[in-house]
Amino acid sequence: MKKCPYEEKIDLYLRGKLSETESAQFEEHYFSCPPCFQKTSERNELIEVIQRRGISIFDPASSRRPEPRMSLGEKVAAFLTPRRWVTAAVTAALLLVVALAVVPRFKSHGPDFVFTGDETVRGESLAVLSPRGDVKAVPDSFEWKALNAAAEYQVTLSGLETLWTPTTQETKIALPEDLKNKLKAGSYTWQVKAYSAQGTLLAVSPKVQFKILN
Amino acid sequence: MRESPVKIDLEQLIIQYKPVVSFKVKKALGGGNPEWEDIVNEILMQAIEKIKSGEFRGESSVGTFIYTITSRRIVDYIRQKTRVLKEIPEVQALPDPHDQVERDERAEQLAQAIRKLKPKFRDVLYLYYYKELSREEVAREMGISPARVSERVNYAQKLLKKMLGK
Ligand SMILES: [Zn+2]
Repeated sequence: MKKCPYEEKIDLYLRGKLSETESAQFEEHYFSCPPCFQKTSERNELIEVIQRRGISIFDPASSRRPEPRMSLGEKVAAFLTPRRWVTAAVTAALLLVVALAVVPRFKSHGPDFVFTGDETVRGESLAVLSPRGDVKAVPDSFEWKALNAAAEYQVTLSGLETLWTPTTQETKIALPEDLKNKLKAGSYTWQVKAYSAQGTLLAVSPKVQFKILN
Repeated sequence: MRESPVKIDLEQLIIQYKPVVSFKVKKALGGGNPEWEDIVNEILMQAIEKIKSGEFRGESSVGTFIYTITSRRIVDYIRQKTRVLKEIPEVQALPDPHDQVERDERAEQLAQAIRKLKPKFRDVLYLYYYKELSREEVAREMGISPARVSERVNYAQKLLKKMLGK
């Protein structure tokens, strides 16, 4: 199989390392080159999953992680840097700047990456306690029932986008102040996943919707 | 309906270009933007109109022609949006929980597969895409050449595809 010379631009494009002109050239190319498009869309999905779920992917396997010095807390902090907010909390203003600069933000989903088979473990049930349903104000914390074999939990809070994916060993986690201030009235969902000490996913809670009334 | 001067199978055109146009539009507007799908449909309609009316005469490739329409439509959309900018809340609530659940499901399977990779593959993905080191930095960290970094990433992706049954 011969290789298209544009293939080596895929990572540079998705990582936002191409100039505006180069980026446009690459886009024009993948509009006409199905193999390059296929590869770009698959790579995009891979990068997106790694960026959004990196903590749950790499952290539980801490014994084999290349950087054992970095604590979980530091990683959570790293995940909540303002840069992540560009992806997480999309203001129209940011959207405009980002789009005009043609800086890829790993937001889109490759339409061609079809998954088959179900490897998600859903044996034991994991129940969320609060918040759920209508809530008067932005919740202070998220709480769920303990699962026997679980060593670590990961919470995912989503609005239009994934907003927060902290991990904890407790069965309750406080919402950080900066995020509290950003949540407006509207519907959100949250979910918790339980992992064993070896990093195996043990259980996934149902996705619960809650609505902040004001 | 007038006769098109360029022979193009319009059905085939949509099948081929809808994923590409969708990818580009979502990248520019954000996949969470509920309007992306309407915009994609508008772009494809516009392309079809231009082919039918004979405005597109095949002076460029079909891919370039559709890319041009797509870029213009995105620029227009952003211009329109600037006018109504102030009303948009900072964090938007979700439009379609079902879609979100399905996407999470797919992402979870991919995440699971990454966890099962051998350390040499998982580490390269961790350093390159999660820590966002440059290719040269990853190479130094792992004691391999930059070219090997790309090879390893490509191979990891191949393994993941296989694991997911595709
Ligand atoms: Zn190509």
